[in-house]
Amino acid sequence: MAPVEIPRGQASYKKREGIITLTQDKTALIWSPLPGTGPPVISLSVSNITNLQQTPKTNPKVVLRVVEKPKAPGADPAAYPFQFTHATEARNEADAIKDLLSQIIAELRGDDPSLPKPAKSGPNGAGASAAMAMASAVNSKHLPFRWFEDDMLKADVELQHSLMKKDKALAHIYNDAKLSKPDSLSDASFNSQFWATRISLLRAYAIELNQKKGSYNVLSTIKPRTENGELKLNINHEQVQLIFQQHPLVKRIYNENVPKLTESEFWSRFFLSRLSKKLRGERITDNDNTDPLFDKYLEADNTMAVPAKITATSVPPIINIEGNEENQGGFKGGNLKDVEMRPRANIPIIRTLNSLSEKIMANVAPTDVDPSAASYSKDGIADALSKQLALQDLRGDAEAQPIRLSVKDTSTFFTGNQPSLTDQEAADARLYATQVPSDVLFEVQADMDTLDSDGRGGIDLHRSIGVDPDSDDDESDALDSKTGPKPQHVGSRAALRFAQNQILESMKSARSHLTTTHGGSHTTTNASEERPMSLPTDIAHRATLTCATTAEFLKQFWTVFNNSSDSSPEKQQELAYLADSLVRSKQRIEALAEEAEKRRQEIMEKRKREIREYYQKTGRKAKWVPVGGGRDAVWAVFEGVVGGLERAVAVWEMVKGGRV
Amino acid sequence: MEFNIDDLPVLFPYPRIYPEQYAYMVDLKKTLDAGGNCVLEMPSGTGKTVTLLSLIVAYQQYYPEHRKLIYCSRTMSEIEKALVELRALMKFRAERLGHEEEFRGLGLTSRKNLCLHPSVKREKSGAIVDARCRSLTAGFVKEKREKGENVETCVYHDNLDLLEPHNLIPNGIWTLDGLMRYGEEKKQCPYFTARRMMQHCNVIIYSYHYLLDPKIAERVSKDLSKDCIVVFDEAHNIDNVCIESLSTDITQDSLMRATRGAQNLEAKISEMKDSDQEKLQSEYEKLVEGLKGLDEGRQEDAFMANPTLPDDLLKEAVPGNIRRAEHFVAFLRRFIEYLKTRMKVRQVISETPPSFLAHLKEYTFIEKKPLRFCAERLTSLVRTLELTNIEDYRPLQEVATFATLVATYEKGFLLILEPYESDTAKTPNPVLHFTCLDAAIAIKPVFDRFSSVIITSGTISPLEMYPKMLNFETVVQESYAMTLARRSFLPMIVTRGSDQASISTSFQVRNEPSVVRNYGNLLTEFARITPDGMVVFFPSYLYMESIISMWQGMGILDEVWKHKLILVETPDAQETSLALETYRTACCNGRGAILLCVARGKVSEGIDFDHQYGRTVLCIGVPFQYTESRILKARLEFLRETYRIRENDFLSFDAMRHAAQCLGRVLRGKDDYGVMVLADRRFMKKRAQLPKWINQAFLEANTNLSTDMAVGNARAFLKQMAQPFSAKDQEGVSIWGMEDLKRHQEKMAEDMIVELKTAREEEERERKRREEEERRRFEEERDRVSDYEMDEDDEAEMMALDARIG
Repeated sequence: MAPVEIPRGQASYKKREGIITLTQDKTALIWSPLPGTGPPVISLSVSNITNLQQTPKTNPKVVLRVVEKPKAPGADPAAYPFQFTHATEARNEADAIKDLLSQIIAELRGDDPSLPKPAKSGPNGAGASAAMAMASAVNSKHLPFRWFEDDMLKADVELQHSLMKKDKALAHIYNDAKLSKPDSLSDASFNSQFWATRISLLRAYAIELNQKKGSYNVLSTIKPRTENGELKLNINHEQVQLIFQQHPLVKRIYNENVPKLTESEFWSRFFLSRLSKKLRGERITDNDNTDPLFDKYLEADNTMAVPAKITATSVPPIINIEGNEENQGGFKGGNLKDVEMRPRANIPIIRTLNSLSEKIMANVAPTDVDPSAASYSKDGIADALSKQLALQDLRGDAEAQPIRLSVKDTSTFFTGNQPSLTDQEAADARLYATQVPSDVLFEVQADMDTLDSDGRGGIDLHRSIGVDPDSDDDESDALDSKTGPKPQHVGSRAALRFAQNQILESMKSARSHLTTTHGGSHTTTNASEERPMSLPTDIAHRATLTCATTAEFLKQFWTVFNNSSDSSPEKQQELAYLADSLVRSKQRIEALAEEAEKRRQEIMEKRKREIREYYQKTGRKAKWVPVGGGRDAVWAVFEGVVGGLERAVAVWEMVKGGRV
Repeated sequence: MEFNIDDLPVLFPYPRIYPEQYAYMVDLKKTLDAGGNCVLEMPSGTGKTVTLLSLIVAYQQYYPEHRKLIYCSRTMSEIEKALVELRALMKFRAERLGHEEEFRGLGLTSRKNLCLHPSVKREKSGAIVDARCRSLTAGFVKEKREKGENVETCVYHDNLDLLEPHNLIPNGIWTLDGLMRYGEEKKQCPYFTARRMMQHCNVIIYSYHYLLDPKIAERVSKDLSKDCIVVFDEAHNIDNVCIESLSTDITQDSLMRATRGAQNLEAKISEMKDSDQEKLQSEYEKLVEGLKGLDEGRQEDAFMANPTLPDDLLKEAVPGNIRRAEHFVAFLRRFIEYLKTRMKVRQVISETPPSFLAHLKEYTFIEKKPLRFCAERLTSLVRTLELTNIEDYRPLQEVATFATLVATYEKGFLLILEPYESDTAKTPNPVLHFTCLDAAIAIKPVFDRFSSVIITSGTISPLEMYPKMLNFETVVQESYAMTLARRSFLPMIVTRGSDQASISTSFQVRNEPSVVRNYGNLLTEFARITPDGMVVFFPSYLYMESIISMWQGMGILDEVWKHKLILVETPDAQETSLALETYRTACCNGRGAILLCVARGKVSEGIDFDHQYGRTVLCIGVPFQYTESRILKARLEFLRETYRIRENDFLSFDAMRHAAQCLGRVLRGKDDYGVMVLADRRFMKKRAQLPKWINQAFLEANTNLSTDMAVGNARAFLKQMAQPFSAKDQEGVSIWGMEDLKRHQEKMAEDMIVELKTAREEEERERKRREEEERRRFEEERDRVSDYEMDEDDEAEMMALDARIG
């Protein structure tokens, strides 16, 4: 296989004469200074080239400008102007290289039609001289293997819609959020905000979409049956396609014969023929059907048009069985293998199994690199292999790659409204600033250690917090509370009682999460997902959604609020909208709570009616079972969320107040 | 990590170490210190190669002797892997030590694998590559060219002459691939670069044959010094390699072609007689002085590979009746004709070399002595005649080699003539087997010459079998257990199909449809639950072919296709390589595949199926040898009579080492996992013959399962393996960090002290006891003396009494 001629050209770069060409495998554009034999000084991966520009034919100067994708996001794309300097052939040389490059790039991009194509951006003309005309506009920031970049995912509306079609809950949140978003927030910015936090979902979905099911051995799945002497065959369009793909011979026969034969006749005769047996790898026996049409092709070649792989590639040493057999060289000794170990070599099925598997995997890049491929450097293969051979567990756990959480000093937001320090505080602050923590700790420690022995007999903790453990002076506390609120002592009876109540309260609430009332009978079920706090299912469902959207707004609010230190009017405006939507979120919860309460009342009415009727019928009183759900339940469910909302609104009010 | 073993500082290229690796190093060092041999069995996949290399390189670099390492492996794949590991190790050492050490490591494989010559390398057969290479690189070809004659040479080879002979390639570790690239870049021959640099290497990694096969060893390895450290890795099959290297077959076809070769030679001789009588005469004179005079013929460019001759033979004059070229050819022809008449016999004959020689002498008057010189004499003649198309003379060479072997060795060999290919065949196709029965013969020169020979493998049980078969002494014999923090492989024996009928590949039942179907079910079930790759081993090619055909007929393969691609080992090596490549791609890509291959075949040696490349290995049937083979029968008899190894013990040992080898293919590292299924009723009784590390992992309940139970177990196992498992969980148990290692070393040192102390105390006690005894004896003696005195007294008293009475 002769390698395709790769164009070369004399070209200068930054005033140095050199040779420009492509690597043998056409993955990189390389330029090396004259004499052009040394290692390339510039090597641009073809896949990173975003733009090619060439001076028009009329211009005597032949310059090819290659623009490379920026190395780091945000950086300027690097441009490499090469001036072709050959006395007579400069134009042709440049054309040859440009044509090849644009062809390769086009191939690279065209590889995957299923990929959503990003919107075309305008030609990257920054710094382009007027003499330069677009040679081939192949601008796209995203190349096939950079499939799932954040920006691209965020911009791909189609993908987002299809994801929402699949994920109903997400669609609900989206629609809810969109409906309740402030009108002044544009759809686009709402979209980008909404998806910014869900990039991972989009990426997972995009990958899922792009994963295609591999092909399979199609003949093995088709089993014609004969019923009442009639052949029953069930094949679909996709199977036919696969048969043609895996067995080019069948395609050929089909092409040559089908107008004459009907489609169904063709297939039924094919599946009964000796040829189909042969293609399946089965041995043909004398009692097999004969078929004048298909038998003609029995000896025909069923290989693919692609040249046999055997001659084209070599396998790496670690799986090179041929090399293993030829390992010692010279005169091979040893006796003939015994009859059991002598392969018969004419087993059709074995050949078929291998060639079928190879055909199915033909369009997958092989895992093992071909050592003769020039693209791998001298050490590349050995390094890759040694990585493969390394005992991973002896290397220890992979180093953790934590994502750095940088908490910005939010106090800068408050500079405007921060109350000035009191004198006392200021004095304290000055004092603290001069102290060395370790010294202070040491002093305190020393004080503690000597507490017992400093002659004062230690401290009475009870007394120091003003509790007399011996007094049962409940009234005094009660009395105090009557006379007015008094700061509670730690350990005082009131405080203890308060703590006790709090614990009992929370236990009660936990219990009510677990218990629901059903049809009057007191049953304890697991707190079902559908009915938290005994809320009716539909209310509960709406509560979940409301909660999710509220959380969404909260998230957006805090992201914007904490995100940057700039206080541009736009940001202020955006924050105002978001705060507004927070307030509305609370209203939504209120509305929901009211509705829940209404439902509860209805249920209670119904229950009462039932009890009454029951009483009238039987004369016995049914036991009243309290009905769960209602307003309180909703508020309980939203307790945390509401707290968050209130805090956010409060912070916002404060900031606003400070600013105004 | 860095640690010391006794005084030896070892650099190990990982921050942690498996306990068995450390134990292995300690034993290895003990062996090297003692200058003796050892047999070590280290569980597959626990990093044997890197352990071995780390210790030996440390040993080489630390002690002033700088003993060279000769590392022998079986296949090119293994050679390449060892080189890659060595390369990584030296890189690590350089980082740690802060400088690159003066160190060179090279691998050698055949010309076929290393050739760069644009047309020669395209030849498909290794033998033709060899022949063509020789015709381009031989000494006389160069001479001719220097004389201005128009002969073709190889530029890659010629370029070597422009370089300093001891520095053809820079220091460093050269993988085969790297060597080829370097050769291509500098336009120099990789094969001869490696061959010639062998003297100047610290480590050589090459095939067993370069040491064991006397036909090659003499030329490739003769200059290696006595204190080299010799390692045979993957040595579980070493006895067969030994035997192969001294066995050969003669067929009717090869005899015919040999006759043609002899005729050609005659023509050439008479041609030369007319043109260059002198040359023939000078050859004659040299032969009078003995083969030593022809030493150049034994150089690297020697035309043909010859079996070694004992040194005394080399000094002897070549017998007169074959000294003249035409006489020698006539002699050969006579021998060939004799063989032809023997081939006409229609019954099986087996005889010993002496009996063969006696018969030969009776009918043809050919003596033993000239016969021994045949191979060397032919080489000399071919050289004198300056023949380049060596390939034509190969059958003649085979006959000459046969002649030399049969006349050189008396014991441990047998000639078997089989007129028919099989018992049922009608048309004769006679083959004369010259078969070596004693593996110790080929390896004896290695043990005689090198003081430290290390024989190691992942599966080399029972250890004591090897010293017995190969006839050598060991310093250490050890089989290491595998320390595991979780059960990372699941060995199972399946004895019954899902219908509870027992399954086996014994000759009587193996083609029964019910057995075949049961094996088929086992295959489909495991294909269903195994992720990624699955490897299946059959006991023989013949059985594999027939069972695959039957499965296809039963629709079992159609079922398998639903879950996996199917690939099969074929007789053609290149085709199999491609199948393997496809298999690996399918394993990585998530498609999943099954590889069907043979337990003693090409794939079972040197190819790993670690991680996703093999999550289940299924061994269908006990891989027994074909017991009806006459060669095998002869060997069994020989083993019984000479080494007291019972036939059944050997057969069973041989089958189980291959089965174990197949199972071991699926593990690499302790984070790897795999299911190992042995599917044959007969495995139940043979379990004990598996290597210790596999045997210990067997749950008693898993040694007699039906297909369904095995599948259930495997499913549960695979589920468990899917749980996260970090290296942390293994620490201290199956992986040691520096701390664990230190603790272990301290404990070992303490144990040693305690041992020494007890020994000393024992000694002390012994000494005291002896003193005591001595004292007692002394006292006794003294007492006896006093007794005696007393006796005298008594006597006197009694006499006195007597006197009184009297």
